[in-house]
Amino acid sequence: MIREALGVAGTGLLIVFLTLILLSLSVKLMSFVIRSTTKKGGK
Amino acid sequence: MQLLNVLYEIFLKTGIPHLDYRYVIMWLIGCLFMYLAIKKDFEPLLLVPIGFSIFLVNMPIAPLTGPGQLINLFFKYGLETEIIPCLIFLGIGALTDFGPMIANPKTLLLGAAAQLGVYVAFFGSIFFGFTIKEAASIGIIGGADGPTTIYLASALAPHMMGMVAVAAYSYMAMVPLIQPPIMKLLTSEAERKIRMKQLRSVSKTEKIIFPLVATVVICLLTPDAAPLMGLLMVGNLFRECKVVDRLLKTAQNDLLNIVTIVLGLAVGSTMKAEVFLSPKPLFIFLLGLIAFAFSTVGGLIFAKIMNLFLKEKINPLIGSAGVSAVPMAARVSQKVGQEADPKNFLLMHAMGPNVAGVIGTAVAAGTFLAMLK
Repeated sequence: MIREALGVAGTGLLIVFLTLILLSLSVKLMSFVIRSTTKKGGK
Repeated sequence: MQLLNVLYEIFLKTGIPHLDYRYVIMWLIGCLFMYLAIKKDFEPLLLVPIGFSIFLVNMPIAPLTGPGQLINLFFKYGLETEIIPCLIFLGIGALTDFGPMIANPKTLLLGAAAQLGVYVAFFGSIFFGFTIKEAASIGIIGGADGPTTIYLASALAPHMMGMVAVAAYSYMAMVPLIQPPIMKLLTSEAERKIRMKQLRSVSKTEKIIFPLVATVVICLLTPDAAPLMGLLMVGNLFRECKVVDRLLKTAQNDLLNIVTIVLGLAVGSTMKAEVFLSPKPLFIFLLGLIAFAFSTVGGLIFAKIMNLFLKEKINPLIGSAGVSAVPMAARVSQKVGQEADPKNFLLMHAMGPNVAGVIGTAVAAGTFLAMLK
């Protein structure tokens, strides 16, 4: 049971971090693309 | 004599002969919840209906929680089907401004770090003898997110839903009492005085596209979090697109209020004397406190670790806002920050990890579901 719990907790924490890191990078990319295209449009 | 017999039979049909001390204890617990809500202003929108429901369902032989009876129907169709937590997320999405998080996306990591308590309490629960599914339902209290706690408990340990929901909402209400001592213990005066650069303004386009990006990333990586995240993001899209004002107002007000009433009554109904009066709830409350404390610690420590690598330092106090409890945890960061430097304004910076915490907790619940359902 302890081993199973360890697996669940380790995998869970890893997925939480991975998901939020990827979301963070995606948001950064989204902002970069939108801001650079908006600037070009402004020019 | 016949009259006396008739009166006696009528008496037997009342609740009075069925009354025992356990019901009275539960009435007092219900009254305590209502007192905290009405007098101390602790999460009144939830604790008033929950408190009254505890009071109501502990009336002996009242036809409320049996199959097909009123409160049982709220529970069956609202919570067992997981509709209510998801509809609450729709309302939360409609009320939430993700702007501070979009302006500073690295705060998403603080929302992840503040899930530490979820896993610490998960382990603790196993040592206390709970099953692995019960442990997950207790651990998620550390995310300080009521709807997510209910969502997970209804899927993994429905018999414990009332206890974990009440523990989650109680600790959410007690954020201003629990977090500040931990924050002061783990940060130096100099760290608490760190001022952060003003956040850039976020364009309307970024705010409209964010719910779509977040839905893609989260639903692809943790599909089990899709019901919660999907409704959170559609609510947020209502808010940011500015063309569905009627839907937005309904999601923010009427719908949210209706589901909150049903949620409160349904959650309170799980706290019947025969279930609640055992050592288990005490363990759950203790483990919930451990979860909540460790989540605060996780956010604070991770912010300090981030500072080792960042050119522009962040104030570690915003890390503690990574527990969901929106916006109270962010307000606590602001308040503790201002005690060290009255001219330091951390609120908007803390809102980033705060809303990231909502996402983090939903993802943590999704991973538990994926592995344990």
